[in-house]
Amino acid sequence: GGSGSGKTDSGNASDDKISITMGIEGGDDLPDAIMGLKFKELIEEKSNGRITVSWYGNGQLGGDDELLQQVMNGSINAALISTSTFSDYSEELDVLQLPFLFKDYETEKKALESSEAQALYKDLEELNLKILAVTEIGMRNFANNTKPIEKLSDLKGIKMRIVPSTLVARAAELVGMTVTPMSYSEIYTGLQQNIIDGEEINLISINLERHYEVLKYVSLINFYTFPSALTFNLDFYNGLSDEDKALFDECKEEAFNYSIAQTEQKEEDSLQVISNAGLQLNEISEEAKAEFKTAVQPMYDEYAAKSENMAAFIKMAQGL
Amino acid sequence: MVLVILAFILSLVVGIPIAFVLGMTGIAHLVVINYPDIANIVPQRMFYGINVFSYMCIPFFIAAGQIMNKGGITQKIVDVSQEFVGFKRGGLAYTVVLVGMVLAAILGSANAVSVILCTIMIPAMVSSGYDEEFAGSLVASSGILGCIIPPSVDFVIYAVLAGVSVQKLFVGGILPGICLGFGFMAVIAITTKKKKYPKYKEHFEPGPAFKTLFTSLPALCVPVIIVGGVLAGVFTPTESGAVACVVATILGFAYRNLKIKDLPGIFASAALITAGIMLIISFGNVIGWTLAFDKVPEKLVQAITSTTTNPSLVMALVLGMLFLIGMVMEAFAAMIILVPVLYPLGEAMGYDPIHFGMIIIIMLTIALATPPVGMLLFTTSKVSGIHLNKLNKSIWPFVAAGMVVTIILAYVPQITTFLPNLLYGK
Amino acid sequence: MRAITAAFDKIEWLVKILAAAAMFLMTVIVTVCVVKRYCFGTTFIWSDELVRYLLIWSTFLGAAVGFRHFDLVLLDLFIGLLPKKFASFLAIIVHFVTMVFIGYIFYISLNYTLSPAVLFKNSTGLGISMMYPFLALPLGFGLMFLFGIENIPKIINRLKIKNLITEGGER
Ligand code: NA
Ligand code: NA
Repeated sequence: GGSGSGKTDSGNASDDKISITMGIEGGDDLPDAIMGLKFKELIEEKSNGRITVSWYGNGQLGGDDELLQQVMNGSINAALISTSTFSDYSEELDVLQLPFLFKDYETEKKALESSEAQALYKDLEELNLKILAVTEIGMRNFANNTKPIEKLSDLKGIKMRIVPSTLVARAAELVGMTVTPMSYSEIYTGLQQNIIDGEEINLISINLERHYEVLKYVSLINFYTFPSALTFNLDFYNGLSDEDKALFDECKEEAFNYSIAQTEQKEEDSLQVISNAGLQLNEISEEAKAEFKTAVQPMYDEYAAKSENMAAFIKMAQGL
Repeated sequence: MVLVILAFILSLVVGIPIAFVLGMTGIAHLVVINYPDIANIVPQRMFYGINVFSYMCIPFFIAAGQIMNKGGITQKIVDVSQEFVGFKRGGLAYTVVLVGMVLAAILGSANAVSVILCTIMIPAMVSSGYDEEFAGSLVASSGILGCIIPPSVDFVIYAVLAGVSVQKLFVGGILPGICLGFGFMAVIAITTKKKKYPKYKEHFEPGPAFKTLFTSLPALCVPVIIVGGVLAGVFTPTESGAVACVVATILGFAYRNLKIKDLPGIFASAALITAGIMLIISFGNVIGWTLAFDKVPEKLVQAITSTTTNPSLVMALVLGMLFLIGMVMEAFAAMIILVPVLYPLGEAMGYDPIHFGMIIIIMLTIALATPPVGMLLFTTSKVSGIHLNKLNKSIWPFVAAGMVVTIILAYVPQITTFLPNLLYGK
Repeated sequence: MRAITAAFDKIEWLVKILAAAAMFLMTVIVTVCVVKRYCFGTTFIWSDELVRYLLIWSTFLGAAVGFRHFDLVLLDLFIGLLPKKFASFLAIIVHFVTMVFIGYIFYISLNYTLSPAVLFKNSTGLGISMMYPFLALPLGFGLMFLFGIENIPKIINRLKIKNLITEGGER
């Protein structure tokens, strides 16, 4: 058997071998897995094999909720976790997902690297978590089997499955969505048997999870982002030597840049697959989008009121 | 690893409850690999192992079955099937397989199918002169069909893990599912002949048959509502269990066999039976985690590929490996840790991903019915009250039939790939 | 001893009432959700979660009752082959090992339930602390431990009478 988790006792000597256990819920083709795997490749290379990463993909160690708990406890050292998962403990990261906060991935990238974002990440250290980097797995769009969504009123009466998240539920409420909760593994058959009419989802997942086999319409609105965080156990991170911390920073920087560039590429590829599968795609006009934006406007004040760091982040993001 | 296996076998044979055997084995594994955080990971895996909505179908169908038995609805359904199949030797047993196939086409899980069959068909078979262990093992193995005949939650999970089409897998499951059904029917044919199970009547008599059908029409509402509701998209297969409880209760009142004061006892007993089953799943989830964490599936695959690179031999070794892992693990949990390592192996050996996936799923599902650890056996034993030892013996002809079918399917890929290729192209 | 048994009977009665109530609630909630979704297209955001937590509660409490009556699934094929006296003697050792295990699970699950990762986690739908759903674990195993102590005299007595395990459940 291998050694259980993590570092050796004296984390300061830079010739100590370190093995990192890292988990993720999704498959290796998702942009956050790409970031994790790139980090693994870089750190193993740059440390000449002194630091190694044991990779556990495809939810082998558990789903997002479970991985987050495992990282907090130190059951594993690190994981890639959707930022919406953190909101059961702290709402700080929810602000990254405010509807229509970023007009494109380039803006989002700048925001995710900003000092305002770092301040949000820093707040999670209270939970014994060290967020190294946050990447994006693709903005959410409407997909359904009833009709193309072209304006706000089109959503009425379409049974949509949403991700279980307070922020997403609030956004859905404000745009008048008919929300039907459903567990993730039941979505495919739920769509096939018409128990739900549609879902809010990113293009890459429609492709990877084969939902295009049971969907008719995809309406491109880029409603809100879906970021994912490379999260370490804080005790583990603090046990690293300063040189190793610098090495971590160097690798995460490169891995982040690499992965977020892939997000757009993977999204274009997925769009191709989806349209080849015969789904009807539609853009949403700027006027129609304005209706949606007005509807969710109250959320900006609600979240700005929650904490100073969140308010600062919103202000910064709006200025980009 | 040898130590862990010894701990498992020892704790199993001395008669420790199987749920605890799984928990002890998982903890032994963590101790052996020198894992430092046992105290946190064990309770976490136990909780999240049963924090799954689709398991709700187990208590719902147990309760629905008991309500139907108490309400006299089961008897009516049995009367109807006796009238229509009772003139054939073993007719009721064949009915179990056929009903299992129909249920499998509606529900996505093996447990759900066998729980319904348990509560309805076992009492019927026993009262018509079949041995209880034959009835029990027939029901347990018919549950296997639940995972193979579409729709199936297992297929969706495999498809996402392996990146293949869910629809193709669904369609691919039809012929193998029917083959398995025929395999079980062959066992019935041999057993009924050997044991001379009685006929209900000599010939089919249309008059009494249709009279029974007519008077039992309200009772037939329960299955019709379950089937219709799921097909029409009114509720999910999991939810259908709750709807069945409600409909059965209303009918039981209507037939005046069920009283309100019966309900608390029925609900309590359904909850207690479910508790025993869920406790096993809960501790089993600990083992799933330790095997994944220690990368045991990867090590096994490496062992296989270092032994041989002949595709046929690799297939044989994979079948053996799945059979062994299925002895100690739930299919669902096993798939999550196995598919990511097995899928690339199949690809490298040149197997069609639909075909290879089908074999993995069938094998892991059959393992649900193999002793010593087989969820379908536990469920059947708990729900029907048949002693596990009896089932552990009587199940083997069905397991053997299932294995023969699987081996044929493994080496004749066309049976699986024919329909999907016909409908969706290569 | 009789007083203790009477007290435990009361506890068991309570657990059964709770399990039946949980089962009844699950059925009602899911049915109402089906009807609500069919009529209005939407259901409660908390329903799926509540149903899961009810099942978890009735699992661990119900399992304790099952343990009290020697009603948990086990393999007694090999024990049945042993001489009765030896089998009964082995049953005492098995009971002891099982009790140590149950005690350990009780201890670690109580600690886990009160750890920050659980205590400070709010469930998405109901908005309650995850401590409440997790509490089922220490409660269930705590009860199991108590029932296990109660059963010790029974198991020792049966050393004199006959094989305990093959007698099976007394549900
Ligand atoms: Na099925
Ligand atoms: Na098995």
